[in-house]
Amino acid sequence: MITERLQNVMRDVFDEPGLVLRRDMTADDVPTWDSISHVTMLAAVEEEFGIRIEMVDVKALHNVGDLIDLVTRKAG
Amino acid sequence: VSFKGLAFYAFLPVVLGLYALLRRRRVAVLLGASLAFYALAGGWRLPLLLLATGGATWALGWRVAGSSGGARRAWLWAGVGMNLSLLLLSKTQALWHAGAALTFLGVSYFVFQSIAYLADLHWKVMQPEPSLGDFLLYLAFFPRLVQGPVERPQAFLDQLKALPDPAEQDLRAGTLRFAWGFFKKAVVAERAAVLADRLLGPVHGQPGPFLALGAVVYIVQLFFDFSGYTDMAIGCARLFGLRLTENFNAPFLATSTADLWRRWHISFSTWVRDYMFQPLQMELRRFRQGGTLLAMMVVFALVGLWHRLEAGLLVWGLWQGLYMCTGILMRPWQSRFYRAAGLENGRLLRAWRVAVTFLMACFALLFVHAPTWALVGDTFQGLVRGWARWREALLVLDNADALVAAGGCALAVAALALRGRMDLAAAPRLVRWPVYYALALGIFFGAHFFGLRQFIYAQF
Repeated sequence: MITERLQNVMRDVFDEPGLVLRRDMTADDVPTWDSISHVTMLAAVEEEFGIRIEMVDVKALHNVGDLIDLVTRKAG
Repeated sequence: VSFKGLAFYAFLPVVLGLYALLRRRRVAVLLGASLAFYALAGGWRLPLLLLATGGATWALGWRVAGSSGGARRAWLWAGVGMNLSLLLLSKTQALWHAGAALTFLGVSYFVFQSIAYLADLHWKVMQPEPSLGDFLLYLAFFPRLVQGPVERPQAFLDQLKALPDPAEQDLRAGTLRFAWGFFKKAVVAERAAVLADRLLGPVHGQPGPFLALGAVVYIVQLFFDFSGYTDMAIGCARLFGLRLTENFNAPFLATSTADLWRRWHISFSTWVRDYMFQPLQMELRRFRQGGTLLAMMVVFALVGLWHRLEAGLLVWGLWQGLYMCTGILMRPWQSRFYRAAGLENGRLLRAWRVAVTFLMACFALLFVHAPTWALVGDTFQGLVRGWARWREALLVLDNADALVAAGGCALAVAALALRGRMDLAAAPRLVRWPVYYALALGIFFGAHFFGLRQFIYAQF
């Protein structure tokens, strides 16, 4: 459920309608996912799940799996 | 003492010898050598300044890591504030200090590294460094002390925990890299500098073709000067088995300004991204794209002013910000247009983008030669004036300086084409020795007959 909602947010922000999330996916796998759109995406995730992400959380994110876990922890 | 002075070539073998002999005291040898290097380069006050602020940063780092909530933030800002005050002091001294300028050589670079350390602790990216000596060496390591690369704390400190014996491969690769950097400086940067000076003149009253051609020559000068220094720093560190961050990656092949910043002064641009831009973008994220664009403009304005508090450098920074913001806004439309026009991944499109990115960079860089607002105005005016004198501008390049610089550029292009395909340090003697000989000859003639100017980035 969380993964699906996250996937929709990322499809929207990265303008990649066919994007399918995997836990081991990183910014290298999505051409439009760079350091600039990263924060835009996180802001959209905050809004979608009604959570607040801090810099210390941002620094601990290494792949999509980490992001799923972070959202699960904060929204759960 | 600096890479271009003879004294350095007496200093370096002594340090290498001590380093090889005193295996249990290697950090102490490197730290002592670095502080001596610093004192000889800029006076005895500088190493004391580094020891004092470095020691305080190290102590504050423990406070940051050991506290939480408001106290954690307070310790962080105490450390960052102390370092920033020092940077601000060095940059504004001309405003309040009328007499002879104090030297703040290298201060920017250890301040950047101190801030990276404190922020990484605050964001729990790393643990505090137990050894004060190792931390001070991270700030003071002499090959990169004067003008970078800006090292990340964890990557550098980890290497100090297991300093290797000098290995033949390291010595050979390090020497070669150092010589290549010196060649870039002595043969290309110095010749290009003469041409750029002649073309750009005092900016005021220079006709358009002189400015346009001068901008191209100056970017070549800047690249060979700065990347040459970086090669020397990386090569020098390699002699001790230490790996420094790469600073340049074929920047003139960049296909956009964003791409250029991933290829030019990389250690600094990633520092700016991680410790200035991203935190600011996070603070402004509720404004969405507007926040991102604002963060971009603010950060590049500050980056411009960091070089020197001058109108032209602010203008240069604002151009960079504008290029980046335009890139962000145009990106979705651009990719749709390229797809529709069938240009995606084409060679032609790539060549076009490389050329446009390069010329945009040249244009922005023109303004760094205009310290005042009046000269910024002159630069704009000059660009559209006097184009009938284009033949005269080209004639400035009709001499031996241009020929030597062009030859050096051709060699650099060849080296780039061979990169990854051939490791010269591992090549047979019959290949290696002619190259050594040619480099030594180039450096000797370049430095002996024309002398060497200060490295451009040492002043920042």
